[in-house]
Amino acid sequence: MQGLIVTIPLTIISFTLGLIIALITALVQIADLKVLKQLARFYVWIFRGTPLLVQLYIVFYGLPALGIIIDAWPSAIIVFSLNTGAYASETIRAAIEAVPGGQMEAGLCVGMNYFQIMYRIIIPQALRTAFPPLSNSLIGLVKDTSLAANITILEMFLAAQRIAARTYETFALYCEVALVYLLFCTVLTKLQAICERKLSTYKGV
Amino acid sequence: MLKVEHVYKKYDDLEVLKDVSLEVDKGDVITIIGPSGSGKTTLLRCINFLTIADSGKMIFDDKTLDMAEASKKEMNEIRKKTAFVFQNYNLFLNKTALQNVTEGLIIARKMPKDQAETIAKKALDKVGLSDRYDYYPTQLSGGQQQRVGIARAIASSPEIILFDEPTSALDPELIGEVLNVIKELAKEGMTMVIVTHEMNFAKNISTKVIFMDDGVIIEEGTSKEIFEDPKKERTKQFIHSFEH
Repeated sequence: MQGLIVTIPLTIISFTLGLIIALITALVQIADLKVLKQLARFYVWIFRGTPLLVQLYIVFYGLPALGIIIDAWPSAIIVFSLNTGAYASETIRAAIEAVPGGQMEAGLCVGMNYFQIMYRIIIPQALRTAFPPLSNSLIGLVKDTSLAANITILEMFLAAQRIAARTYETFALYCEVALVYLLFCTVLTKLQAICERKLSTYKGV
Repeated sequence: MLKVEHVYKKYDDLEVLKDVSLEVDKGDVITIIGPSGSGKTTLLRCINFLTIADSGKMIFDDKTLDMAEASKKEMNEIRKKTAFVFQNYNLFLNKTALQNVTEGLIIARKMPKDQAETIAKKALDKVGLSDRYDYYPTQLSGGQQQRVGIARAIASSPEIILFDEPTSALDPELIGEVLNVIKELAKEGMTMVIVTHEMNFAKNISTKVIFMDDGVIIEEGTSKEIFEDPKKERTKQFIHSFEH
């Protein structure tokens, strides 16, 4: 399945960018930076409140009407990373807020400043908490990349559609696609379990 | 060395501190006792700016500052001169015992790592945890965690250590080990302000005892004056309630 060659990098690039966007979006809200916070809320509101497929259509088919032409690949990466970022930012924000307030106080008392405490004490703990739900987002994204078929990206699903159009073996082909996604996600789930075990050191056993 | 004057703090309509003043001299071991909700902890937190007082003046080493208007830099300066031991330890959960102690030295005080580790090991040895350097807080008992908290406090060679009910969260059989460490520090002449409910401990260790109730200092004096011959009715009542 050559389609995987597209699905995997599309997922990895979008997820990485999405995480960076999520972290910034979450921190802007936690730090209570007035205008930026409003902007962050607005962004999360838009991207969580509209369907991913519609977002893809707007960027790839809609923007050219305004004279902004973006190729299929960049379009997909922009939409997938912004979409993932919106969801993941809420995960990360909640995880940061779940770190006990005493951690910040203890940091202040040993003379560290806000950013040092955030970077060295609070965010590492928050990411541990956020890891399982973020894995969820990753697995969701793997499957969502199949929507990229709609904007001409020859990922696994579109590749299967084309073969099916030629051979008429629809059932077998689409089941095969499903199976490949399932396998891929199973590998990710296993990886998640291994990582969680490693991360759990300071959580005690 | 440290003086706070006319500290006032209220939360909404609840007045927690009503014009409280406190003076700490070098070598003092001051215990603050009193019923829950009397403002003891708030007073301690105001000294370290974990809580910002509504008004009040602080004089620390001849430097005067307004406790309600202190800048971040001023707060940080005071925090570096003091150390705080929390009721629930507040150890950095993602750091080992050793890293808990070195963190502030390396990051806030820009000390080279090996020098910080030497100091940290010495501090941990002192509180009896030389075999626990690489344990994470969750792998330690409450008493051990609090001793790491104390090691973290002494490692920065503060002028004053502020203790906020250091044994209140501990199982009864673990209280002793923590109190012993504090007693040891007192013997060495460490200046300390301790909020506590451990009356016997307060009685034995204090150079000065402060009894607070309802946001004011009712009475202060030597251990003997407060525990054996209290003047105020409210103090008598409180001290007697512990003598059963």
